[in-house]
Amino acid sequence: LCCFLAGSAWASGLLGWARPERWLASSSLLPLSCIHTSTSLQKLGKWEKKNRIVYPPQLPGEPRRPAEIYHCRREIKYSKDKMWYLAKLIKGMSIDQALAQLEFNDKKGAKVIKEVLLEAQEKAVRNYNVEFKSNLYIAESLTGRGSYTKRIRYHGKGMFGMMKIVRCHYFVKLVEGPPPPPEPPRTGFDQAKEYVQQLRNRTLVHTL
Amino acid sequence: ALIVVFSPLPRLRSLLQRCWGRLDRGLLPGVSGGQNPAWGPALAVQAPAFSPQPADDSSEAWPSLLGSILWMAAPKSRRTIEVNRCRRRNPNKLIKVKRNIDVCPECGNLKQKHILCSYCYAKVKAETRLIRKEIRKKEGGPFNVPTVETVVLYDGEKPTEKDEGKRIIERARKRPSWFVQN
Repeated sequence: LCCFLAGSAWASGLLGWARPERWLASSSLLPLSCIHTSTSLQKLGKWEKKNRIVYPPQLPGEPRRPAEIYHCRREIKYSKDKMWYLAKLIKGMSIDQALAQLEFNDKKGAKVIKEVLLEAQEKAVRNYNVEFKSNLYIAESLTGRGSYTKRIRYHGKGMFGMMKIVRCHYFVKLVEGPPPPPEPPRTGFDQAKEYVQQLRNRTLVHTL
Repeated sequence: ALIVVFSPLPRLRSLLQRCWGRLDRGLLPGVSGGQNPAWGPALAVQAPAFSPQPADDSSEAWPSLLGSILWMAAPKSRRTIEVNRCRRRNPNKLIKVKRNIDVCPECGNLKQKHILCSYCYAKVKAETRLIRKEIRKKEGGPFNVPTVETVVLYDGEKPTEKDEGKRIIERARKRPSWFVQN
């Protein structure tokens, strides 16, 4: 005698904690509609997860929090040190100025970063409720090391060396609003003033 | 980084030994005394005490190899990351911000002040390519260039009295706005 129940009910009845639909990557075996048929995407990096934070609703008196868009591209076939110069170039610029500078730069990474910025701008307007696509500035722009593969590089006379095929990641954070004014460079006078202030802040501890 | 690996082939090793031996003999004329009268003034560098023996094999060649490279410039200590950063992030190595970017009045794309707009130039290039295809069809082969001028006429245009003896190339489209008719 076989008491045939629906699969999930049987599973929950037998072992409440075990869910066979979770064990199977694809649901070819158990023909139930409630099972997720798609495999999970590749492990999301920390930068991608930054887009998911949800702030509590703002109170009526607070100034409007500007929209932040995090975007990145992984495993770009370029060196992280060379990409850093481009990232440093566009840090703090408005997105239009950054796109203009990258368009007339001859480096290979400039084309890649331009595509990333355009994608991020598109995402901002579509998903993140940004009103004007020019009203964005680049708050952060970083590079990171990607995966390196080692290969043999053949030299003359039977010699060889090991070379590394380098890749990098590029991360960008766009914030809505006009770009902040650049802070004036720290002069020696400012440093001296700060030093004197530090000396003046010293007090006697554990005394009356 | 280059890792020079000495392969175990005996032929290669003896070749290397002979090369280094030749180098040593050439670099240390003072040590070998009167054996090389053809060489000019002696080198003003510290020469190692021992001289390489061309007859010996195996172990003798390697100490002289190490001795002869004592006088080459080499870094004394590892450059720290702070020193490396100071060099790599020096303002003369950072990319300069370009201040000669403008907007093209014709198409609205960005262009550099002293360079033609890339978008407009691409349009002109495409049209020129099609005109040249027409010319090739008319000529039908190499070395058939006529000795008269060429005039390009678009849809609905007739050759004027000025274009009497000239070669006419027809293009089956409307005249582009940037191609002004004389």
